[in-house]
Amino acid sequence: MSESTEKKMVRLRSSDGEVFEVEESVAKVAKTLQDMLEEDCADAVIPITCVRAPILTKVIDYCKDQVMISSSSSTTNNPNERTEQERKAWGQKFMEGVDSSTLCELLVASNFLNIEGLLNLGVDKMVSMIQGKYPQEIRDMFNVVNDFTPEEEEEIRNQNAWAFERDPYYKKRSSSK
Amino acid sequence: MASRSKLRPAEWRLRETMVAFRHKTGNRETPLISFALKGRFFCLMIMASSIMKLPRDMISLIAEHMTDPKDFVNARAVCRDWKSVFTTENYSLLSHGWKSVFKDRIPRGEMPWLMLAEREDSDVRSFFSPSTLEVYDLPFPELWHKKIAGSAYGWLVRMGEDKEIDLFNPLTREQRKLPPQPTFGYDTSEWSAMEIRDRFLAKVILTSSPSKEDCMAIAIYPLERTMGAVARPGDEVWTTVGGERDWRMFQDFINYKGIIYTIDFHGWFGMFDLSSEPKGIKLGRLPALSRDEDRWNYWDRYNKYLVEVSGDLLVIVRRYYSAHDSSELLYDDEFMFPEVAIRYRTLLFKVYKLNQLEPEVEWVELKDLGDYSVFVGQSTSFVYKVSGGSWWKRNCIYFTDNGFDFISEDNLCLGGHDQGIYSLEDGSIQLYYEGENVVSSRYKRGEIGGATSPLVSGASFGRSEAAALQGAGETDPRGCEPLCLNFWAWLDALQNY
Repeated sequence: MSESTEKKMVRLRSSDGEVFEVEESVAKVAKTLQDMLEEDCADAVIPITCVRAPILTKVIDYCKDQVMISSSSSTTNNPNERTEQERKAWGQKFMEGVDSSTLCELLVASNFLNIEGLLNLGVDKMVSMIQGKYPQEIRDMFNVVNDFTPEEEEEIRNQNAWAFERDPYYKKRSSSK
Repeated sequence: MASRSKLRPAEWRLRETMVAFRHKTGNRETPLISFALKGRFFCLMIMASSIMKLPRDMISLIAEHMTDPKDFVNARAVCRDWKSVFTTENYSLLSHGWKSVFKDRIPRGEMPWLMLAEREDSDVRSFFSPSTLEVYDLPFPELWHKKIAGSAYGWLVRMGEDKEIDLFNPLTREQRKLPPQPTFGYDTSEWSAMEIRDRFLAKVILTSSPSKEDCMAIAIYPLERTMGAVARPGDEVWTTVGGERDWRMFQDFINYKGIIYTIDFHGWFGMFDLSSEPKGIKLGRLPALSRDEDRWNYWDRYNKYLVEVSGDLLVIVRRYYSAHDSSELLYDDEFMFPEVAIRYRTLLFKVYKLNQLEPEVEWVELKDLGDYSVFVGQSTSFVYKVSGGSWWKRNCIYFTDNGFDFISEDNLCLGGHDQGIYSLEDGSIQLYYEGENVVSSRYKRGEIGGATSPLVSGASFGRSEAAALQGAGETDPRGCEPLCLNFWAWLDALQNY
């Protein structure tokens, strides 16, 4: 009996219809789900309408890891406790190989599910992806359309021309004039 | 009850939960969260289908986390949507936007750049970004042949040979006038215009951003006597604080919780009422550092700075090696100009926290600044909270040169060489910039009065420990010439675009 309460399972359905069964403690890492589960509706399949299956898998991985850390930190001498550095390294590894579109989806998911730690990881990753990039590179990365008129773009660049000095894309444009 | 809840579609419940949650967290500032809570289900589904388009709130969260102005500027140029996020006054790069990221009481200025010495025949100034290790060359005719006597809140304090002193914002190019040098009432009749420019102001501290009405500039002058004077932007004259005989040898001032505190060379800590007739009260002394501290001969072996770190007032004590005759001068083969000797270099720092003010001032030594790093030197001292993933080192003291060398018969020494990163953890000093424009080309050419080998500073000391190169706007009390101009500057900007 006690075992069944310990391992209460929750089912989550991704936007593309896949159903994931996870322990309640894992689902509760997501504040949105936690609030919901506290209202006692754990037997239903919870639709996560804005998250696709591959993304939800990643989110669940993250939640599982959080559960592992917190459960072990209550015991003394726990081998899973991480130092600041290890946490950072773990976060980097977790985000390793995540491409820009997956990252966007992860951000939306962690935002929707209200998982602050994952959101922060995602934003840090995003900032590091943008770091050192020029506008066109950022556009390519995130599928953003440049909707400036050439005059507007010129003006923006001129406001802080120093930042664009080594922009290869920009040089090409200005020399073609 | 249970059966009823089974009948309710899970979507409905989830939505209800979210509405309830929104009420609970209605005051949360995180734009992202509020986005999620405001979302209706159909909205979220639409979002899911065009998932590649980042929600606006997500973009603003990225904007808040961005630490390099160059990235910020580039992101602005991506598209209209991004421009509208990376621009509002909420995200003026250095004054507002960061508050949500660095929630502690930080006097702002999270983004210091090192401004390098001026060039000989060009009004281009180089800025070194310690976070990206890049040097940016920006044209600044406004800074041409100016002494920079300090920086704070994204503004620079500049002084020209015309004796005019003002505040200048390098990004918005705004200016705020301060009273001119003759209104200090200090006799400089025998000084040349260049001397006045280069060795009159030792340092100018701002008590708040010049865009605020209560901003005051506190000047420490002249270099070797370090008296204090205060003025507000727009004032006609500088008002002496402490009096020439009563209290001088000031080393730093700070606006701490609305009150102006100071620390002087002898370790006296006190407060000032600068409202109309400046009055100062000595409150207590720092614990003596060593026996030689009080001896006049060694007065230049310590420098002290005041800084506020997460609500606490700290005194940062900087200890120098300091030569008092030519046999003690330092040489180093790795100098940029090996023939030049220098008189001093920083050995170590100590940090004291103000533990209590009453009934008497009490200090405790701090060995660890936690996630904070402190910037001291020629600018208004400030603190930076190092967040995860940042390039900045935590628990460090970033220092620039605000000492000055002197000329002996055989040796010419100039300031500007003593800078680096001091780690409180292991006491090591690391160089952070070692490149061009460390010193003004005028010195390299030897245009310094009477000196045969002109020269200049700049060097790295030894292999593992180091002090860095950079000019500092300091000069010899006995009449040597100007030094290079530089300081920490950080950009307040973008808010006016």
